[in-house]
Amino acid sequence: MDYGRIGSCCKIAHRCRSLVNFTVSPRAIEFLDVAKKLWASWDPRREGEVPPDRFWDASSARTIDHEGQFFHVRGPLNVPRSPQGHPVIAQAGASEGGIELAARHGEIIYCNILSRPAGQAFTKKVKGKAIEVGRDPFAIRIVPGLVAIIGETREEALRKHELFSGTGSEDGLLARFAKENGIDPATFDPDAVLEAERFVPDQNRQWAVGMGLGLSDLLTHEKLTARQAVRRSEGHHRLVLGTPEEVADQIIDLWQDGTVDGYTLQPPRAPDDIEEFVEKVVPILQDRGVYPREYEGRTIRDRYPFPTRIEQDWRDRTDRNERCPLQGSLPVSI
Amino acid sequence: MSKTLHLTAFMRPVSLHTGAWRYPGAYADANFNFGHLKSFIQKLERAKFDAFFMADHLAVLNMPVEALKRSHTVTSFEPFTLLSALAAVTDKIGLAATASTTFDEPYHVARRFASLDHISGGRAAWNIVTTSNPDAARNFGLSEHVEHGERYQRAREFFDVVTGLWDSFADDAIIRDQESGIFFDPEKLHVLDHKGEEFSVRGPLNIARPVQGWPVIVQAGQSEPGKQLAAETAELVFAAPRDLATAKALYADIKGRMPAAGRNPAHLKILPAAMIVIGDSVDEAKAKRAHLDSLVHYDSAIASLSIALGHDASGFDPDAPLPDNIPDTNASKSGRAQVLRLAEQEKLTVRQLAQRYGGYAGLALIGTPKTIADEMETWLNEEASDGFTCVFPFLPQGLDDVTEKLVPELQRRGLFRKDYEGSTLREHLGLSRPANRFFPA
Repeated sequence: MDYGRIGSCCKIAHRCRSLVNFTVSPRAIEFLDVAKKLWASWDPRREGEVPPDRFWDASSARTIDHEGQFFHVRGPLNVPRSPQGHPVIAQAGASEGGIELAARHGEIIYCNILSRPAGQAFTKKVKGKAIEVGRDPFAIRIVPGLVAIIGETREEALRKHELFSGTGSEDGLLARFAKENGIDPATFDPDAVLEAERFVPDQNRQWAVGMGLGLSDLLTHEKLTARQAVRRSEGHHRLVLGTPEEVADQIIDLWQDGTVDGYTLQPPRAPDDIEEFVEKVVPILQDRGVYPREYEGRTIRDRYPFPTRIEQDWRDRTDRNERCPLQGSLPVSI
Repeated sequence: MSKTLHLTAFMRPVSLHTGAWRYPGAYADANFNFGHLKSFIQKLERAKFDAFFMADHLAVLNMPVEALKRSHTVTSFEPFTLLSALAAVTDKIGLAATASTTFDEPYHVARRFASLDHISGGRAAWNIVTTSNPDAARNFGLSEHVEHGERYQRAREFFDVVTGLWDSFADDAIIRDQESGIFFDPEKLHVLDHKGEEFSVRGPLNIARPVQGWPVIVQAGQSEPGKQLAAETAELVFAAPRDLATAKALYADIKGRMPAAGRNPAHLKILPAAMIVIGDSVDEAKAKRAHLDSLVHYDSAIASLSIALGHDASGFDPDAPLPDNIPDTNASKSGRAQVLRLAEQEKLTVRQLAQRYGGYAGLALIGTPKTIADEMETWLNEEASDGFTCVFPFLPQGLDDVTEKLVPELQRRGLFRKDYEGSTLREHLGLSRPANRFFPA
């Protein structure tokens, strides 16, 4: 209907996590198996000219007769194959179960990556698992959340950060950090290097495990004080602060070496920060040739040129441009 | 004030007639082409229709593949995605979607309709169905179909949960006070905490109370439990009686049950589904219908006639009248009598009769704009209906004939609005906005 601009996001409901930690993921994986079978229940060759005396060739749709552990579904779907075959599958959730789902079915992976080493480790984990289950790792795009705060100067961006966060000052940001992480304000030294182990989330907690992993991963790979750490993330996602040029530099930085494939922009305020990003940062990315000036193709799938078959083992390919055929573009999805 | 008609358009499928897509000049893909559907709803809105109505099925239609392969309704849009898109290209016309109480969850349904009502500025309606297609069960992990009575029991509780969820927030709960930083008043949020026979739903809904309080409640209302459910819950009924006499009886029956259910009969509009075929003369309209029927393939037509007769008709001479002495069976005596009466009245051959049943056998208003307006006026004045759910014979011409020829005639007679007076579907239908059961005004 809208020519294939749909992405389908699969998430495991948080409420189920504590009860059925070991069974939720298999259900989600089977759910996607069934959805894909239903989307494929019509012959793609049906597209095209309709014979004069019939609307539909009965032989072109098949029942799927799925009999699984969680679902029994006969099919076929009563909607034919969509312009992009099936919607792009977006996945979020970096717990073990989430990574399993990402590896088996995810195409666009939304996550929180706060640093290069943490991002590379995450990417290796997801794509490695994908290879284990027989998928082409090029069919997976890592697009972590990104919070950009733009100022005329870096100082202005810092003040905006303090304002938008509701804390009002750097001291306010530090106080929030201490509170969120259960640190006693009496003994809190904002200029002491933080220990990563202190920030590892409990795998059994009810709230999303992956969110808490971002900070501990960051601290594992970089020696940071609380004063530095509070400027590295906002709402658990990577924070990039500064002038439009500085923001663009940081965006390109993690993309250039393949740590990430793009970003999911999370503007602090709508519509102002969306407009500011579009007017000030996007033109820089376009001038540097990493972001398209026009939409390429009609469907969202066209914008993420996923391979249709396994061409060669991805580990053989070290050159970024060959590894990821983005034609020098950087997909920033809002 | 003299009574006026309400008109809705039955749009899934865009035509119930199985020959519709083969009619000369018709869009063969009218039922599954977003551009066409957008133009249809905009035409209906220019003609001031009350609502655009989407039936729904949760499976490919349950019919033999020989008939199915000739069906233009084998693929249709899912109602919420379509109506959300159509809400963005219209301003006034109501948007009615079907959601099943058998294969869906009250929280999902409450949320989708509340969302559509906000997106459309108060134009959503929920057609409550209990889903009779046995193939649907097999798409939802059930090997056998849920029994009829049980489905209605579940539907009644489903309705209570959905409307309770819509009432989660008081109308004035969302204050968005930027000074104090308080977004909503927690005193004005109700946690439903429903625990019943069929459902356990905690709530609250995570959507503000719908613009209309509740989206308008729609029911087919034909079977016995269906009529009772309609009397208890529905605000719009589109049951399709076959003639004026049965329509009057149904109208009196459903409205007669309402006082016992504590409801005012004026708070329900009965709009029977009727196919409307318009010609410059009555004969021309009849010829259009005959041509439309002739486009129904004989194989699927004869199967439909056999079902209506309760007897295999495939051995009959297609070009002769219905033979005498068709053996009696237990199956559907009244249906069989109706077939015999129709064959007699219109002097139809077996082929024509079969194509009538295989095409569209329901109520049809066939004639000139004047004769059809006369009929509609009679139905309205004799309390057979409060208006009609228009079924189009083919598109776009059949729809254009209604909006460009019939509607102006009705407007001339003062039987139909010349412009919308309100902006919500409730206002179009003259229905009051329900009070919040947890936060009385």
